[in-house]
Amino acid sequence: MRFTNEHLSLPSLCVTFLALLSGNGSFAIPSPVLAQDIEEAGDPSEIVIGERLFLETRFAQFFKQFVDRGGMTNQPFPTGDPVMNTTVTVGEPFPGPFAGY
Amino acid sequence: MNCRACHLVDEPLDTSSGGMRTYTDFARRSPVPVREDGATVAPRNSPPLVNATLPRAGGLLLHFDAEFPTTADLIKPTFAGRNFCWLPGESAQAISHLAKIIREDDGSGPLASDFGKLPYYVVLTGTDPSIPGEFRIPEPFRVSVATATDAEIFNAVANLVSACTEGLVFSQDETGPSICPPTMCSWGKTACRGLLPGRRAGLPIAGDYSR
Ligand code: HEC
Repeated sequence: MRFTNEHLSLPSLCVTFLALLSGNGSFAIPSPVLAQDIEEAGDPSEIVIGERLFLETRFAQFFKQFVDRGGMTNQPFPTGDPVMNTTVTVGEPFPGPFAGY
Repeated sequence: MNCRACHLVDEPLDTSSGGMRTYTDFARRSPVPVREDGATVAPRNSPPLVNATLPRAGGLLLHFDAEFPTTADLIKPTFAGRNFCWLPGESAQAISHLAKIIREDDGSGPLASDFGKLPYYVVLTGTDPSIPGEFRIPEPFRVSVATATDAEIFNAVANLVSACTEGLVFSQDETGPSICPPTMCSWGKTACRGLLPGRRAGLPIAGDYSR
């Protein structure tokens, strides 16, 4: 199970797009070298750690109930919050990305 | 529950009724966890967060009923409120529970493994020389977890999540935050698959992002 692919989705993408747009000020064919350079610079650490906290499921009261029943902070959750099982849409729901957490 | 369950990005890319989101969801009203108050949904669905916190004339007002003037002001009662399963009157419990997780996390969980397997107390204290640069937060964001109060830890977490939320912006140029030609507004799959030859190259998309 992976929570993320790389640490951030949008900030990295936005920085890259900014790079692609800058220079002569027009929307240019992306330069792989430039995009790579920017990507490798990475996101500021406070954003990276902020994203980890954005993804953290244990702050929820549902996890507190588990702790109150004797669960430990670092113990895998036996059954996650059922609200996470599906992602609700205006049509059919699809499997929730955090099912089991 | 976590912020991302309601503010989705690339998780549903390969789902037939899904697609790229800019930190919003697919619901008419976002579902909330079950508690004894009987509530099942939030008053609205989650709005996109990209560009949501850009500074603006007249100041920032967040939530559609203008409830909060800053991102951190929104984040604290979100972590300690109904979206995270807490009822009115339980915010002190929510704050002390969050602080306990920060103090006790040992970096062994699946989420931590995407972030260097560092325990929260190490990351938030920020002084351990072994913390890699990408995870070493600047001093204004740090809190000495060993000595901090619950409220200080809670504030530090809110500040970090604020930084992350405020970092969600579409591309801009020197004239301001207005650039989003149609080609770029459809950045989702294109960006993940083709445009970025850097660290995303060849990586699997969707599905594997979160499960
Ligand atoms: C249970 C679902 C849910 C969770 C969990 C959740 N949100 Fe939201 N979020 C919403 C909804 C619904 C709104 C719109 C509320 C309104 O307008 O009254 C919203 C609004 C926002 C806004 C305001 C956007 C704007 O344009 O006014 C921000 C910022 C935000 N959320 C950030 C977060 C952060 C950060 C977290 C985690 C700490 C989080 N949310 C957790 C559902 C959720």
